[in-house]
Amino acid sequence: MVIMEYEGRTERDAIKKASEDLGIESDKLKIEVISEKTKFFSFGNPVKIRVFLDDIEEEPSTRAESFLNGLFNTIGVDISMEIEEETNKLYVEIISDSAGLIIGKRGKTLEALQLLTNIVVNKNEKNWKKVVLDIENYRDRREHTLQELAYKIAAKVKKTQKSQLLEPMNPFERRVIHMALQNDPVVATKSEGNGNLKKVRVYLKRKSNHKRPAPAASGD
Amino acid sequence: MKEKEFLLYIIKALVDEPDEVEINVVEGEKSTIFELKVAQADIGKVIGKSGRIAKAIRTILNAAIARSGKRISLDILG
Repeated sequence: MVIMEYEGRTERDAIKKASEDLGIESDKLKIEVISEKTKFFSFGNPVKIRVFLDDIEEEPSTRAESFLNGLFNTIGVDISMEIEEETNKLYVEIISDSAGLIIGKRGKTLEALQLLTNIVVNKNEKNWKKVVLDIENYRDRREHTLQELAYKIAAKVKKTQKSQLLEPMNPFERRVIHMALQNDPVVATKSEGNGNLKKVRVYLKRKSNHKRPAPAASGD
Repeated sequence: MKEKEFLLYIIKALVDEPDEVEINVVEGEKSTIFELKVAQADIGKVIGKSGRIAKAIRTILNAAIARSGKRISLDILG
């Protein structure tokens, strides 16, 4: 239930404002008048009305917040959230003492939680709003770790002259690896495998490829 | 059992017919089996494309139950 307040010079005026603002016909509004014009001459006092809306669509941020709150509540894990909303994105920063548990091994639990939150928030919605979950700066730290990994593997490939296949990663993680090495003059990267989790291969560019543009990496 | 409540909560948020959701818990010594029943039309909503959603649910359920040291299995009954 959402309650909105409107003011007008007269009751009719206030109702008209509410109707225009909400895009609902005035006879369909549930209204309560809270401050009536008491005296005939009290032009200074506007009329205040309250409009009750039960079937109003919840905002995506509200849906995300209540889904996650309820979820952690059932297993007795205390969390709080900070939500930032952009046009097509919702950043949810979770604050909790159980961060390790929520992140899981290599972020597996956080990814799973993010997928489910995305589905719940966008259920029956026309415009997809991407929900990004983060906790204790995990995304930044993970990105940094992956960049370090990319440089280390590139050095190894150069030293051994043999390509290296990394462990399976999600699209976000693979992108970090590709980006980290995209300007490397000696090695190139490509994704191998099918599905959401693919493996990135870091390999030596052939010398003849230096003059030609490198073939586009498949998959991403 | 709070893990059952936890699972029930997630499934109800995903489906269109939350009243049709049923969960049976079969508790073994080393593992706990969750048998899930949803409305026919909602089966796809809890499995997802190539089982992505089912996999995510299992991952989260595993994390929720991790402290007990038990294994879990989630069976979706069609």
